[in-house]
This record gives sequence, structure tokens and C-alpha cells, in this order.
Amino acid sequence: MTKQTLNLIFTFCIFIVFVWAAVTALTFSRLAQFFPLYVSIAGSIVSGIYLVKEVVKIMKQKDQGSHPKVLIVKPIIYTGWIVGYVITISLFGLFIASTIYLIAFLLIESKFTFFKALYSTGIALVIITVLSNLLNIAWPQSVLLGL
Amino acid sequence: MIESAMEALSIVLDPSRILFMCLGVGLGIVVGLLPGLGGTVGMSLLLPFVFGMDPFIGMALLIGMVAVVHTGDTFPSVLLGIPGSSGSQATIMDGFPLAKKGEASRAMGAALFCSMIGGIIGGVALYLAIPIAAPLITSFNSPVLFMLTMLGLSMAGLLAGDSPAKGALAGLMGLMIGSVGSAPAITEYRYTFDFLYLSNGLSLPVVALAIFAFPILITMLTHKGSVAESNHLKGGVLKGVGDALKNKFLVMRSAVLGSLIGFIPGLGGSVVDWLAYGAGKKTIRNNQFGEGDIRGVIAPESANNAKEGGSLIPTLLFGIPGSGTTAILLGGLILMGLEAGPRMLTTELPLTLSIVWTLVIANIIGAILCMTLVKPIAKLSLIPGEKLVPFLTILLLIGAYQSNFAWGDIIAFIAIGLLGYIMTILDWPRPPLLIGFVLAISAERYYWISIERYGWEWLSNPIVITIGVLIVILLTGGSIMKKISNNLQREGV
Amino acid sequence: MRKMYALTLLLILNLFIAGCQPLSFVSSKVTSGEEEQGYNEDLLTMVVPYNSGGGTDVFARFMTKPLSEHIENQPSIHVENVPGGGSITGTNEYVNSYDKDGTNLVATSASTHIPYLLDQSSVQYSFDELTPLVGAPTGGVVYGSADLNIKDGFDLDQVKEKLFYAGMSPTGLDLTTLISFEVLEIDSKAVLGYEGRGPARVAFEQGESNIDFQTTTAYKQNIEPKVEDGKAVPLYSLGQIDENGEVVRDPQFPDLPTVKEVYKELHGEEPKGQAWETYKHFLNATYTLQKVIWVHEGAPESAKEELKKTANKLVKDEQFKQESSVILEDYEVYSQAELEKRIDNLEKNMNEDTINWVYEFLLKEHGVDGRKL
Repeated sequence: MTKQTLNLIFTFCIFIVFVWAAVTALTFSRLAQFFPLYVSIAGSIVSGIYLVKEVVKIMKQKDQGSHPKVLIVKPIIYTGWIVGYVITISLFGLFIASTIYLIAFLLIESKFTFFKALYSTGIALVIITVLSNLLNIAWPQSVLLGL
Repeated sequence: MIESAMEALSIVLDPSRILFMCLGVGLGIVVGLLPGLGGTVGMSLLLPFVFGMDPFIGMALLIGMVAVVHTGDTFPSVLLGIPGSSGSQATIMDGFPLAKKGEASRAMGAALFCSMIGGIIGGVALYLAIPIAAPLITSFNSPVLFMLTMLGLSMAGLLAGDSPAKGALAGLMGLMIGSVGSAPAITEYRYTFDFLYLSNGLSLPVVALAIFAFPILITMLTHKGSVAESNHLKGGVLKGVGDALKNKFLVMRSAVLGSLIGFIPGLGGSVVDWLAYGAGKKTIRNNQFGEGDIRGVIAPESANNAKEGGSLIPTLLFGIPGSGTTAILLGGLILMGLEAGPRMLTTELPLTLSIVWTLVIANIIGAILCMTLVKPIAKLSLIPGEKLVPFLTILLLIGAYQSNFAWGDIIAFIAIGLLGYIMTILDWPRPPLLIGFVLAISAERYYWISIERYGWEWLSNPIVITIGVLIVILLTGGSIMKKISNNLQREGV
Repeated sequence: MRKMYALTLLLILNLFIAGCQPLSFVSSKVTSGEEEQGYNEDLLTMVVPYNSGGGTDVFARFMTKPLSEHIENQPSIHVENVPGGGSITGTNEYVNSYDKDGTNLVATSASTHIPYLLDQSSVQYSFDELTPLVGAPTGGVVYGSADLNIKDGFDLDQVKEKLFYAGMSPTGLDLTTLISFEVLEIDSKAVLGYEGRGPARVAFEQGESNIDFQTTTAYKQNIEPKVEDGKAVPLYSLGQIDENGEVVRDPQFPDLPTVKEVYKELHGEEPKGQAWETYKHFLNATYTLQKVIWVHEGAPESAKEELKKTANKLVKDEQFKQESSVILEDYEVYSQAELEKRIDNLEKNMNEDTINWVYEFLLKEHGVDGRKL
């Protein structure tokens, strides 16, 4: 996908969100209403104008040649890693999830040797434990196991 | 007053108090260094221990911690482009490009030195403001505060980059995100989809991390490279210090601005760095702000440490906390058997003065400590992305979780992070979004109060008009100046 | 090789933390544990549904030490902040997901009680499911600007200037004060949306408001000097509710008339009607019972008995009285039996009429539809 197309889609989404926010704001009570209403109306107008201008700009350009493309697959994969990690935390708790995530990531993405991955994971886990004990940091807890 | 200041100095220099101050400094640097943790976390960590402590020792511990958070938070901002705490976002704008050029040490040196000077100036500002604080604070009524938030928002326009429309939209998106949760005047929940998590609105650390750190995680992986593009690191800490010395007026100016903004109750110190950055961008000629101009590091770093001194004034004298950190500080005072209020200037004056000294000394200790760490830590910018990211991910997720200890923190981090990532690849400016987010509640609150209390009459307030004119100049000034200079050039030819 | 750098960084972090060692010795006792049972274990949890550093948090933290000293085996009590939703989140969580084994306590405050009294939909807790242990009151004083040209609250009917009141939210602590205005028929414009009582006080000093209230300590610290300077005039105290449910003078302000006395002076008769009943009800829940520490009703009887005994020992402890004077603003804590009776009375007084009256009052006076909250 080209950057221009993605920009159009993104702006359109923003426009929809602003319009939705404006409509929703109408249901709020007087004290809570004015600010989101002003902002969302302003947002709808600006994003609407910007959207139209962009479309016009694209219509005028005929050449399809040198449009910069954006990466799509890779970012989704990497976001997937993070989301997967979060889901693992929710299943098994932070400690186990971090172990699985680190070893898997280091082996697959960073191309570490198995020993090296194990070694770095171990150190990272020790540090997390030490830090959270000393700084009294709370961990996200497993929804299932209560770990 | 100078006599009592000297007396307070001798109290502060007592070995046991220095020890506790150093403890505070150590913790302050750690929480500053770790993304997502900031002064608030440090404070809540220390709170259980100050209970029943001698106030001088307790304050040495607490203030020592607060003073250096914005010294430590420079590391991740410069080296990784991740805000170490919500006060050092603007440092990213030029600090990170400098790190990319392999000049991380130089940027760090300048930043740390400016942090120190800024912190000292903040302490001095606190000291000077003591006699005049009360009338000054009461001179900010709601219409003036509203106009000040507008001034802050117009700063977002300065940071918009090439496309004004994108900048304005980003700012509006920030305002929109900021209005999630209950309205200031009523506990009606807006845009919360019945999630209780959203009822208090999103937390600044989560949004700041999401907007700046999440995109970094992904881009570091997609580009498979280290932060620094060259393989060896140029320039040392001392070069950075030299840069700061060369720009001493900028340092002074930004520090004074920082302490002034910190001092205004209700505006919130979280935009100080952006305001100083914007002001620097506007006033310095021939700047390359945004592309690795060292002055873009100096301005926000001088301001964010200076802010702490300023923000203590309303906290100690009026019991009005300007930020989450100072709110906990108030609780700490009560646990030590004290109560913020006018008494801090009379019977408790020695304590107030000892706070001034603690600020100054802790800033010096903190900066020196950090400078010794620059060399090893700067090498972080040479590690390839795919080897650094997994560890950073864990750190960031835990960091985000510290805001409310809720799963919502993590979900919000990822959701807003994706927004941030899309904005990054499409070249939408992110600072306006953040400024809008921070100022949304203040803008709504003071606008509502102004209208409710004064009707439209408040628009005729002379201070309001002055700030209004200032905003117009700020927004149009650049283009008018450009036109004039263009005309002059043409005439010259 | 490069990974070594990461390790160096982590080592440095460790060095930093070594600097915080003395803290860790203390904090290691406080590591979070979920699996403790009974008082043979040495840990109790006190849930605070607010952020650290706030009034309730400070109260809860203060109470941990004296409480644990009076419990058998002296288990330490650690505070767990579960902030969010204006204290509803944490209290809901306490009721729903904390073990009902008597090792978990919760500290609540007026802003936890009001949503419950107003029957808001997000509230999942009920006073029926909780047994009160320790309760402490606070007081409030309404004062006016010297510009109003009145000497005291009895002159309120002679005010010529327009009254402006600076508050936070109509469904927070301001509610009681606003109802007192309604009872006294004080015609003031309530400007809501201030960040807290502190900023509201600054608004008073700026002249943005000219009638205001502060709770006991804040009043004594910040407003009494102004009264001495002739810049502010105390008008009336909100009073306290006694065991019989009547409004009496606040022990901290024995010289200030209460709402009831001011009403009598202005109208020549005792206040009555739904407004007055509602005022008493909310005064009770937000001031007289401002801070309460509870345990699950479903906790084992033995644990509850032990905790109740502890609370009663606390009332008699002279040292506690002395140490607590700052935190409790010189008020005394209630004995457990008295507290339980007061809570029971409060529950008995809850009825549809009161809730409806409040919702109507909010809608009419402040344009707020309380049922949507």
C-alpha cells in the first residue's frame, strides 16, 4: 500500500471518530457536553477539509510511479509479538510469560544461539525480580492462575 | 532571611540527612531512568517510610528523589527516543536524532549539565519567591489560567512541522483523548464504554509511553539497526557541557520559564519541556530544531528540573498540588506531623529553606552521578534493535502497568501505541497530540469556570487580552516575519 | 559482544539499586502475598481505593501501626492502593475479589459512601456486606468573605451581593454543603469544576468566590488566620450527627452555630421537611462517618471478633489518642459497637424519597441528571 492511500484511510477513520464523538457528545448533560462537542466538531471540520484536499490532490496526480510505500506485514508481525506476549501474561502471569516470550523472540527474531538466549533470559528475569522486589513494583497478574 | 538560609544549610549538611538525600537521589535516578516510572512512583514508594520521621530527614529523602527524576529520565529520551518520565518528552525531539548521529554522549553531557543548572535555578526561584508567593498565586484567576492553557496549546501549533492541518488534527485528537473520563465539573463518564478503567481518564505516563515508545519498538525491529547509524560514538560529555556553556542565555531563559510554569497552580508541569522547547524554537535564529540541534536538548532539560522548585511553592504554601508527585508530597508532610499552609513560612521556615538547599545539592549530586554513567550507558545506542527490543518491551509493559495497576493500562498502551505508530509512518506530528492530551482537562475546567463565574465579561480582563495578543503573535509571527524578510530581500535586489 | 553492553547497563542498574538497599530491608517485609490465612500468618492487607498520598491513604497508613499493635500476634498490615473510578473501582474489587478470610480490610471515605447512597449503577458494594471496625469523623465550616458585610451566619438574610460558591462536583463532598444552602435558602451560584478544596480556597482569596467551606484542618490552618485579619467571616459549621440522629455542634468548633441554629434564628422554627432530612442523612454519611475501615461481613466470626476487640482497645489507648491528633484532626474514633449502630441507622434512613429528592435537587439546581451517573 502506498503512503498516500494509507494516509487517506487514516484521515477518514479520524473523521469518522470525530463525527461519532460529536454525535455521542449530544447525549451528555450540559456540564459535561460543551468541551467534547466543540473539540469533536472542530475535529470533524478540519479532518473533513483535509480529507477533501488530499483526495483532490490525488485526483490531480496522474503518474503512478514513485509513491513511497509503507510496510504492512512486518509491523503487524511485530505488534503480534507484543500482543502475544500480553496474552501469555494474562494466561500464565508475568514471570512465565516473560520466559516464554524472551526465549522465543531471541531464538526466532534475534537469531541467538539456544544457550545465549537462555542465558540472557535468565539474567533479564533475575533483574526483573530484583527490581520489582526492591522498588515494590506491581506486576500484571494472570487472570487465570492468579500468579 | 539570609541568616536563616545559612542556618538551614548547616541543618541540611548534617551527615545523616546527606545520607538520606543520597538515598533519595539514587532512587530518583532509577525511577527517572526506567520508562514509565517517574516522581509519582518514587514518592509512593518512599511514603511508607517517612511515617513518623524527623521532617528534615524525611524531606531530604523525598526532595532528593524528586529533584533528580528529570536528570535520570534524560537517558532513555536521548538514547532510545523513549520518554524516561513524562517530563522529558521534548528532549526526544533533538536528543534522539543526536544519538542517531552517534553523538549521544554530547547530548547527554549538555542535558545533564543543563539539568543541574536548571535545578539550581529552580531552587533559587523557590527561595526568591517565598516572600512574594502569596499575592502572586492569588493573581491567577480562572480566565487567566484558561488563557495560559490556550498559550500552551498554541505551542502545539509551533511543533506541528510541515503540515498545519496535520498538526491541528493531532492537537484535536489529543484534546479528544483527554476528554475521556469524567468531566471536571461533574462525575459523568464520557466515552468510557462502561469500562470503569476509563472513568478517571487515561494516565499521562501511559499515553506518553504509548505515543513515543511503542512506535520506537516497532521501527527498531522493522529497520533492524541500532540507534546510532555510525559504529563509533563521537563527542564526549565535556563537549556537551561546552555546548551548554556556549548557550548560557538559553539555559537561563528556559530555567526561568520552567520555574515560572511550575509555579502556576493548576497548569500542571507536564508541558514545561514542550513550552521551553517551543519557545527555544521560536526565538533562536538559524536553528535546526528537530534534526539534532543541541539547543533543542538544552532548552527542555534546563526547564524540566527548574520546574520542581517552582511547583513546590503552591504545594508547600497553599497545599495545592501541581502534579501527582506533589500531591503525594502533601500526604508525606502529614505523615511527618506537618501540614502545608502559611505556617511553612513562619514557624516552619527552616524546613522550607532546607528544601531549597536539598533541591540545589541533590541536583548537583545527581548530575555528577549521571555524568559518570554516560559513557557506559551511551553504548546502548550501538546495540541492534532486534536484540534490545524484547527486553525493552518487558520494561515498557511493566512501566505502563505502574500507572493504575490495571490491565487497562496495558491495553491502552498498545491501542494508543498503534495510533502513534501510524502517525509516525505517515509523518503526523505527535507532540501536539500529547500537549492537547495534557491540557485538555485544564482547558475544559477553566473555560467552564470562567463562563459560569463571569459570563463573557472575562474576555475584557487586561491580562486575558495580553495573553491573547501573545498567542496571535506566536501563531502568525513566524509567517509575518518571513514575509517581511522576503519583502526586504526583494527590495534589496 | 554487543549484548555485553546490555549486561553492563543492567549491572549498573543493580548498582543503583544497591544504593537503595536500606529501603529494601524494610520493604521486603511488605512484599505482596495473596495466600495468607488467619492471624498466625504475619500479614494483613488494607485496601485503599485511592492513590497514595491522599487523605484516606494517609489515614489508612497511619492506622496500620496502632491497629496491628492491638491484634493478637501483631501481624503487620500493608497498604494496597487500588485507585480509579473515584474509589468505586477499588471498593468493588475489595468486595468481589479479595478473600473473605478476615485478612483483608478496606478503608473508605465520603466519596465512596456518596455513590452508594445515590445508588449509582457502577457501585457493586453495599454496607450490608461490610462490617465496620474503625470510624472517624471530620467537620466542615462555611465561611464568607468580609466583603459581604455581615458579622456571622445569623445575618445571612441581609446579604446584598451575589454569592458565588466554588466547588468540585455536585456529587462529591460539596453535596452536603450545597444541601445546607438549600435548607437555609441561601441563593448562591455554585461554580463547579475546581480541582479540589485547595484551588477552591485560592478562588476565595482571589474573590472568584465569596462563600466557601473547608474541612476542619484546612479551615484551622488556612482560614482562621484570615478570620483574625478580618478577611473572612465564619458563618456556620456543618455540625455533627449525634447518636440520636440529631445535628449538634462540632466539638472542634464549639463556638460556631450549626445549620440548625442558623435556620432557627432566621425562620423562628426548627428546620423540617425532606430537605432537612436529606441534609442530616448526608451529613452523617460524609462527615460524621467520613472515614471508615471495614472488613468483609462474610469473614470468619473469630476473625471479626478479634478485629472488633482491637477496634475497641484502640478507643481506650491514650497513646493512640495523642499520636493521632494530627491525622484525626483531634476528633475521637468511635467504639466499634457505636460505629455499627451508626451505620445501621444510616442504612435505615436510606429510602427512595431521599434519593429522589437529591436527584431532583441536582437536576433542578445544577442541571445534572444523577440517574445517568
